[in-house]
Amino acid sequence: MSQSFEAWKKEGTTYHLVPTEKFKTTTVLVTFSAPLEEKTLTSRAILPYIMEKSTAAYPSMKALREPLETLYDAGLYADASKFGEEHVISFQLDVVRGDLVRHETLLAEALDLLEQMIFYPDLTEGGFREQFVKQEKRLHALRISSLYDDKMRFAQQRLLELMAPGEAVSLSSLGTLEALEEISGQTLRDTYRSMIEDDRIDVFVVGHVTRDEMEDALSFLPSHSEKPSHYIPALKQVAGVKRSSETQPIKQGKLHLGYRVAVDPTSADSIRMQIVNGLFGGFPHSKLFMNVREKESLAYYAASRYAALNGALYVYSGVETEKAERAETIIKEQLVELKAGNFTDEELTQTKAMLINARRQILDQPGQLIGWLNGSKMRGLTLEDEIHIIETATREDVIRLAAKIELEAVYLLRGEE
Amino acid sequence: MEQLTYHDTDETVFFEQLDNGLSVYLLQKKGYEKTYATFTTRYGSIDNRFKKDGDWITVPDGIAHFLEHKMFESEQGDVFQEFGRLGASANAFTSFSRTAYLFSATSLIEQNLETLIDFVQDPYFTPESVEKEKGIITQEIQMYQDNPGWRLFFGLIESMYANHPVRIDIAGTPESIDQITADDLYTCYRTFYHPSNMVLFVVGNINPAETLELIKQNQAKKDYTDRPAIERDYGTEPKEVARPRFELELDVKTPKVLIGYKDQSLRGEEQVRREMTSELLLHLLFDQTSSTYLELYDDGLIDDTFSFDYSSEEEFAFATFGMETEDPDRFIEAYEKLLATRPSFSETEVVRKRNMMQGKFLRSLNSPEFIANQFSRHALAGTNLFALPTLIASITKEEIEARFDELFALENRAVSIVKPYV
Repeated sequence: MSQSFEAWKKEGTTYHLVPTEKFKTTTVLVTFSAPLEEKTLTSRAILPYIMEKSTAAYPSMKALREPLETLYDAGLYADASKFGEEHVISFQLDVVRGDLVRHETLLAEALDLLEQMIFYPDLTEGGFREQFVKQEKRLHALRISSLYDDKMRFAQQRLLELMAPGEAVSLSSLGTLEALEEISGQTLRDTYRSMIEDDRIDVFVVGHVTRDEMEDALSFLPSHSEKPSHYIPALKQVAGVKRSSETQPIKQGKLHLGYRVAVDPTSADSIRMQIVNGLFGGFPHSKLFMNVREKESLAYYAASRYAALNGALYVYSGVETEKAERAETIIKEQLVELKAGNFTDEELTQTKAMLINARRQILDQPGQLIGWLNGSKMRGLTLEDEIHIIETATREDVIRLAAKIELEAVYLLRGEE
Repeated sequence: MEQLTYHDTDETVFFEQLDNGLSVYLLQKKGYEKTYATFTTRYGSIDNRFKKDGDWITVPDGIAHFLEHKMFESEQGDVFQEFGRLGASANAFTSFSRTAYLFSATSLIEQNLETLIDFVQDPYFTPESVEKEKGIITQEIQMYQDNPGWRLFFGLIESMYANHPVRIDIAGTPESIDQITADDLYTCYRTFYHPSNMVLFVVGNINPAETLELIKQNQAKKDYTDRPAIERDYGTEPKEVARPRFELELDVKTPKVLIGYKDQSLRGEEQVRREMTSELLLHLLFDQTSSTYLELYDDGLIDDTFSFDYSSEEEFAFATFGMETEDPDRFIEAYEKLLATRPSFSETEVVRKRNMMQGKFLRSLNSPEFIANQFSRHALAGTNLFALPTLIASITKEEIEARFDELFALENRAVSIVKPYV
């Protein structure tokens, strides 16, 4: 690997640059981060959907999307997400390299549209236009209720609520129907102003650009005092296993298990924990896949995911409802095996190889590069550092870290014919 | 080895057809960490009737997908594990007309490439392992049965096609796969996995000459005799749709509607042109920048859940569009009215859409997966992926308008609706 990374701070904004010529595109992401709070969540969740549809100078979807099409399908989108205990509103631009289409000013023209979207929204009515707000509220209500149709997401949402009832981290990143009711063009303007004035700003760029070009191109960003970050939650203690189940008229049941992981997400151990997750259920060679799916034919899928920031590990499986109990027993047994050190050197080597392989592949996708930069900023480790930590991790590390995983909740969505 | 350079995309492809008939394509992506390889056969779920030793035979539905699953089992064990030991991730997929096996890796590329070629060229099925797989695939079918989008799509395909096997679910049904035997799998394997029916594509930071040499040496060790061309039977399909409307109740909150227009497919470059022209047409009609979008949006007839697509393979082609809506019938009526008269497109609009399509294509070339999968698809149909920018630039307003008149005839239309239980 010979890819260079640059990061620096200027006027309160943190810049991350990955200079490279290997892509056909240049990608720019600007994020606005604030503490995750129930009272602002829904409003911040709908705001990007409204902001990406029009601006003061391009007052309709049509007016805004036309120049983007002419600029060779430049992508310009806004989005909202949760990141630990922060709420993040992001604006992303990606645009084809000008030299490929003989259009040298392509990037500059596209960046102008990004600036328009973030800093010049259509507030001609004193707030966001009620007509647009009304439409978006209707669509957002549909988004919230369609969560019910995606059974895997539905079951995961229920599991999160079971693990941390009443806490902001367990809220759906879309917000709630109740809070949506209260939103108007005026309240959204306040949310917008707070985002511009109070949020921490991070900028990520991947493409054939230099630091100077980038600072120059993004000189429209406001000058702030440095803002603190809030995304790392306190680690939680487990007080007994919580259980819940529901029945819906579906064919395949969903069994989700939530574990607490007592590992600091900024530590090198949080990287090593991914080896534990890999052995447990992260890959097709993992214990969950081999035993729950292959050996016992209990499930179509059974996998696990380690959410370092939330100090949690989740197991997902799609099972026949009558086999759910058996599946749960086998899932739990696999973790017991790991804690007891019952895994082969070959499984360990293979897991490490897969994790390293995945890390190298990050360098081949602009979106993944930005995702990795964002997700790893709290650790201050380079991609090479992470690979080294994985390479040098031992069997003892796995056993030591597996002991930090404790079951907290079991959720079963039962099917009925 | 042939070397083909495409200046429009800044890419170079190396090609050679080996003595046993295998087509090998290699693309060097400088600066990439990953190498991605696909080994694809022109054999998919629609190939359920073909000639074996001079006689027509029909095999159980879903067998191509079943075969794909079983290929990962070798006499030595599970091939996934072997890739895992080599630090690679492997996968496979079955579509209507292709089955592809693939891996991506950042190290040990030679070993991984040999593993890919060798496992696909070494079938091993036992009656016991075939029986065990039935449980796993039945679960997979059940999972798709719970997916409203999948049910909506197949409800539409079954409505458009009376006889063509595209109407059959790619994975088959629990009943159809239950009939599959190890002998059936060998029959399909021997018919469709001959090198002359396959394409090997490798993209990454590779040395093309060395990679080709490795593939040649590997193939030279294997005995393949020449095979006659495969004869396939897709039945006789009328031009009109089989049934105009299909409805299904499922556990969903919001009804979903999908409208399809059955198209006639052409061959080779002609079909690629038809596909690109149709895509330009659909973008002109339904993108946020279309002249009717705002009106449709204000009427609640188009929103973020709206999507459209043009699908074409040899032997079948269709356009679809649909969305989630509380009132599917209102949606159907509105679009029937909208598509009754061809709107007038301006030259400016057409130029803008051509730019957009070219940009979309160039952006997708960041992805080795896109290049390998789409290039193989084109190669198996005798066409060239990298000719697309030039082709798109040459499509005229008049061609797009003619496409509108051909495609949107009412007798070509079927609708599919998934709605909540009442």
